[in-house]
Amino acid sequence: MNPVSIRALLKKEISDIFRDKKTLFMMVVIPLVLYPLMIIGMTALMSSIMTNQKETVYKVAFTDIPFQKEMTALLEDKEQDFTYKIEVTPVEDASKAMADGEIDAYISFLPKDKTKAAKEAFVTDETGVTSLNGTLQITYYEANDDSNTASKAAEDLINAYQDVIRTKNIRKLKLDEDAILYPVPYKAVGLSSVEETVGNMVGSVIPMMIIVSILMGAMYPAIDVTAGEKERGTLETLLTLPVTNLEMIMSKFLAVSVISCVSAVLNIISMGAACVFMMSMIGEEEGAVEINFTSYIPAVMITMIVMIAFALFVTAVCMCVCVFAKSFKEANNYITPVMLVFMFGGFAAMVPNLELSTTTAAIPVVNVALSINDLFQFKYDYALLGIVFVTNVIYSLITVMILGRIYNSEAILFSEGLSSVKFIRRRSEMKKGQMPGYGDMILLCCVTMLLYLYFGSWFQVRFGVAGIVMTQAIIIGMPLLYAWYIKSGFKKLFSLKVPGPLQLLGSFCLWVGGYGFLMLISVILSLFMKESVQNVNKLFEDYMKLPVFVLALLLAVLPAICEEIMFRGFLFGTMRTYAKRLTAIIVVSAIFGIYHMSLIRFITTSLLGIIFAYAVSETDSIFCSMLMHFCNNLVSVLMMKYQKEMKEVLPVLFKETLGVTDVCIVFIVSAAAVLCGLWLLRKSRSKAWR
Amino acid sequence: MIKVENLSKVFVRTDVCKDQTGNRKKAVTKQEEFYAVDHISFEVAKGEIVGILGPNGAGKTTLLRMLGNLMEPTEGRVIIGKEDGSILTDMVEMKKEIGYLSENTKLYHRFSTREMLYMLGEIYGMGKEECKKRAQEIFDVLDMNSFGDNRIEKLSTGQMKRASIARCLIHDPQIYIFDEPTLGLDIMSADAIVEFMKGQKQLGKTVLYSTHYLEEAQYLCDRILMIMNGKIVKQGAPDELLMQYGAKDLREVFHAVIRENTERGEEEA
Repeated sequence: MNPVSIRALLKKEISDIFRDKKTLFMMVVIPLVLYPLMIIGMTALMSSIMTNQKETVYKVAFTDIPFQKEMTALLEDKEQDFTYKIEVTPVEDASKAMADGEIDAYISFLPKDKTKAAKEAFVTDETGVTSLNGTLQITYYEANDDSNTASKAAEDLINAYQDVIRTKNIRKLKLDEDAILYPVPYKAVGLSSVEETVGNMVGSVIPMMIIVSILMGAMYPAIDVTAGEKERGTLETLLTLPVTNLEMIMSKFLAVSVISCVSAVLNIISMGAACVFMMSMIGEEEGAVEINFTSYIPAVMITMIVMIAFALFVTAVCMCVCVFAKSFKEANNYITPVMLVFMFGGFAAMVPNLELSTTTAAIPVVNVALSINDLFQFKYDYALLGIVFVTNVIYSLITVMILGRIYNSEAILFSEGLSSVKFIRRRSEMKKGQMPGYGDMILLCCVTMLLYLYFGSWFQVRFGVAGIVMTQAIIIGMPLLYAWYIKSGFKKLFSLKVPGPLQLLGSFCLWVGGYGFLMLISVILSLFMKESVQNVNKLFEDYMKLPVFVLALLLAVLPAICEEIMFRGFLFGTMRTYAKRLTAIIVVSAIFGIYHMSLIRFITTSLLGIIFAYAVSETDSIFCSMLMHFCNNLVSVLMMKYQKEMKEVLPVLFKETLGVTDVCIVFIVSAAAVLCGLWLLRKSRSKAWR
Repeated sequence: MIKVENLSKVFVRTDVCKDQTGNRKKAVTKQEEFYAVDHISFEVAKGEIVGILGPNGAGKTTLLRMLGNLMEPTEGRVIIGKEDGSILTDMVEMKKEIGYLSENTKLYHRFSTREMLYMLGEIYGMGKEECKKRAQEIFDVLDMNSFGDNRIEKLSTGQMKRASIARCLIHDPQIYIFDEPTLGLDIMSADAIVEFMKGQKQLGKTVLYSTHYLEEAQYLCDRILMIMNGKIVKQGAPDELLMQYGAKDLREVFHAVIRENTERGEEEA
């Protein structure tokens, strides 16, 4: 990369972006005008609502209460300090008056003994203690704010009356009032400084605002330098210049990052100024809160550093998405879901008990939100902040690498953009025998995963055994439907080739070896993770009552067919046509792992996925991986159903930790099986070639 | 001097091909690779104007894009020989010697021509003073002083074309590659561009350009390359071609060549 060209290109990109009024508007007008207005406006609104509640006189009716006078007298009592004002409104039909909105709430008396209720509401026992012979009931509308507050006001009034009666009773018994009412005196002492309390409040809101402002700042320039450049037709002009694609993309990336950083800084300054202004306003009114704003300076400084790393990441992601679009409008469509995902991550700071830890510090977006939240509460954990910073830099580097890859592709620079989603066309326009594109793969994955998440678990809870069948039906149905819709060639896409006996044998050997290695791996994994494989199996305890052939059908045959059609069929078949074999195997296996939704199972199932996919790629036959999948699940089923018998035959399968000899034996047997399987597969392949 | 050796570009095309009986229901898709430019070799000398003719979809634009180093060839290569005898093969170095212009090389609308020239000059590695001097020279030559400081989005089509040419000139390239430069222009503007190319030839520059206007090609070109289906099907000086076909103008030659090759293509099939 030539720094002179980069500098010249950077200058060109930035000045080009700055000539665009949309960008300037998003960058300057929104942060400098809108945010302060919003913050101040919101606070003003909140405080006006609060005072309004205190000023409003709530209309409360009393129905059939014999001691109404004593109660209402309390309202006039100057010593009582009620938060809300009540006006006693006499009505004839209280529930009708409520419905008409004449009153906000009413209090009624439900006597224990209905016959003489009107005469004697109170009963007095032999010691002279009086108590109500029934219950008071407050009736109100929960969904109506005024009615809600009125109920609180009524409650306050009843409590005040309660106090009066209570004091009277205690006096009658000639006891010590304080000892009875407050036998355990206490007081709470808050140790947090005012700054910390304010930081806690502000810290949960600020991350969201920063994330949104960086997104806003990055979004428009990112669209402008990618899709915008394509739309305006200057991309080809740019390509005539003596610069490499890498220089071109780096300068675009830097330009957008700079702008998103600047916009975020502007945002912080303007939000900060608005906050300071507000605090000083409140301070003047109440005169009690004294905040030392300089104490936030370190937090703000570190926030800025984290923010810059985050801005790089956001920029790279936005550009990756926008590159596929041909026009501004199209890019806008693509970027909306990205924005939603980022904003969702921003909510992390508002989730109670979600704290910055070594795990959360590595989750993109969430880590930024949590770390900013911590900073404003003066928690400086530099190790975690380091992780946040480094992971953000790493993520942005990875995304920039992907971006560079995409930008090097002439197909994307010169052509129609996102044409890989074949699904969006009408079926009559589909070409027969076409292969799905990457876009189709992603779409199918997402939809199936969602259906699996929502319906799968619901089916299994609701329908039990039938639920398993339904879940598997989703997994096999979606890819089949999709392939039918786009008129794909089933035989090619799903690798529906009858395998030779040697191929089946080879696949089986490969699975035996793979299973052995997985055992070793899960033993190692169980050292690090508490969740053991045995625990996972508890899920199936209910099913254990079923006869073994039904179990095998449900848990071995069905998944072997359905999951293989989805993963080694549709996904692997699609990827294999576009990507290198190794990439295809790894990506599909990772998806297979994710779909099992458990960290410990992710590793083992992904590894299994790898050998399954390898077998399919060697034999071109999905039946091989179906066989392997079936064997694998069958072993688990047998292990659960015939625990005792299996333990006697193959004790090594059940051990929590393996001894040295066990490890050696398993290793040697597995290695031999794997080698044998590989040799068989290779041999049968070469035969097929001849 | 610019030279291409065995230059090819492969694209992937998904097509619905009717089967032999023409039955659309039995249509099969072919995701086939095809040569947009099929092993072309030729050389253009210094001070030569070469016109590239051919029907739509013949591969002219792809060929010119590869010559301009906007696209990487699948096979073969482009070489530029400099006056001092040295040879350039690096894409970036070659771009410094090429002025490329096509329908798709639009200008940065948010700038004035002068600002844009300064900006691009900087990317070509020119100094500030050099840019200023060069831009003024170009403005004088192309008579752009009256609108050179207006925002490009405000310019008329003809003015914009001149601004585009100014863009190609800023780094004083030795070779011009123009893809249909006179398309959609009025007679005055088109003539101005034709005269400009002629002027550049006198300055010893090399010009390669594609066009559909055969009279223009006949008047301007030293040599003509006719391209069909990614291959050169005919080449020679305009006069030679006229003689060969006994035609009165290039239009007749064009038709004859197309007919000849379509028949040959059908025979092969």
